[in-house]
Amino acid sequence: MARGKHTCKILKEIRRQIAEASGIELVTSECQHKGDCLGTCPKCEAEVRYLEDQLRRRSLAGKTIALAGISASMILMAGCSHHVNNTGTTKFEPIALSGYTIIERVVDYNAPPFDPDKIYEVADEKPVFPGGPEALKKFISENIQLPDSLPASSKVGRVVVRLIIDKNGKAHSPQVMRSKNKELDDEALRIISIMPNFEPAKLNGQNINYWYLLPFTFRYNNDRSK
Amino acid sequence: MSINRHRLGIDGDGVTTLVAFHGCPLRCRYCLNPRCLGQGDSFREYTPAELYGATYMDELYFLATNGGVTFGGGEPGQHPQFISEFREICGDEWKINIETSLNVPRENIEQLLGVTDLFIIDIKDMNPAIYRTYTGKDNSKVMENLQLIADSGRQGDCLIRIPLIPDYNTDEDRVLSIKTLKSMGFSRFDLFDYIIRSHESE
Repeated sequence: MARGKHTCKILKEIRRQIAEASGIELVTSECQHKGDCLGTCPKCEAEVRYLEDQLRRRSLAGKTIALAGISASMILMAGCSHHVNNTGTTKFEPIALSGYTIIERVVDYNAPPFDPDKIYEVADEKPVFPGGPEALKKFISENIQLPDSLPASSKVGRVVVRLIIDKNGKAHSPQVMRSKNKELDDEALRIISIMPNFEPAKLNGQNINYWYLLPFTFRYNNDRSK
Repeated sequence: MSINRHRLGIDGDGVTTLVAFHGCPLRCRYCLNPRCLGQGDSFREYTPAELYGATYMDELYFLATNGGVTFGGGEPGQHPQFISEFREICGDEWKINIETSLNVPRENIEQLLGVTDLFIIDIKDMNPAIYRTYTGKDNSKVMENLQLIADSGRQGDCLIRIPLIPDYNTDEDRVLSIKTLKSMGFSRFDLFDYIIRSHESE
């Protein structure tokens, strides 16, 4: 079996186990793609996003979700099957493996034409905050405002926000992907609302709407984040 | 830096994303990833936050399988600050594995000890003469960092790769390497053979 197909099969089984463990209905179908693949495709990625969404909904609804460690033994078997030869030692092929292929784009077997209204997840050039990443850190750090009345333990943590940087560079539509507490979540969203425009993402030389992931790390010692 | 997703139990537990740094202090005769030593045209630069954005899409797999990000290369031991900042962003739930030769300054490993779950150590051979012949460098830093890890009681978080390198070492040499490493408290070894192919034949 081609390596990509093998990877695809295992990842699909992991998704099935995740869904089963948390009581999520997941309907999958056999992949019809012929030939080599990278082990994932837009359809596989869509299943992951669906599971994430369902897990988030269940979590918000106070339902139990089971995640960690449910597939570890299967992965272990998958890894061994590739590498142990019949003498009991592991064969490793230098150079020939070329195991460091650059994969920065999900393979899309039926790539649609350019759509100016689509919100892209991959781009030739990602959005850039005015002045670059260090300026973004500085902006966040200088604008954090947390109430003095907030307990110290509530001022520390990590919040990850997904937002759109549109083709004009404006940041909007933020969604908290990883929450710490309401105060830190709200502060991250407030800072995003006052951000200046970014240099928009580009694809094939054209400005595009782009899903941007922005992590905030709140520290207590000086009430600053990066 | 280049990224390779969905590696299954190859470099660390579970599903991992391999992040390969550019640049290495060694010049091994049979380098596994010679592209890391070139001009770097096919690599792109990431900030820790950008790398998080590029790897976050597989968090579900990481959490479900006890996986995470494996930093390789090249030599990730040359980038402790980057990896520490990445840890701060990705949090404690992702596993961070480092594939390293340990041939880096002691302070780099001191910093990495605080953020790394698993060290996958490419030891080459413990014999200094063999090591120098094969890599072009001496292994005094390697020995110092092995001792640092042992003194920190982190031997259990190490997987030591000991290759049989054609024309450079023998099975007897490997036995001696293992004996020395066991005396330092290391117990997880991955023995494998290099299979040499020429570029021209591919």
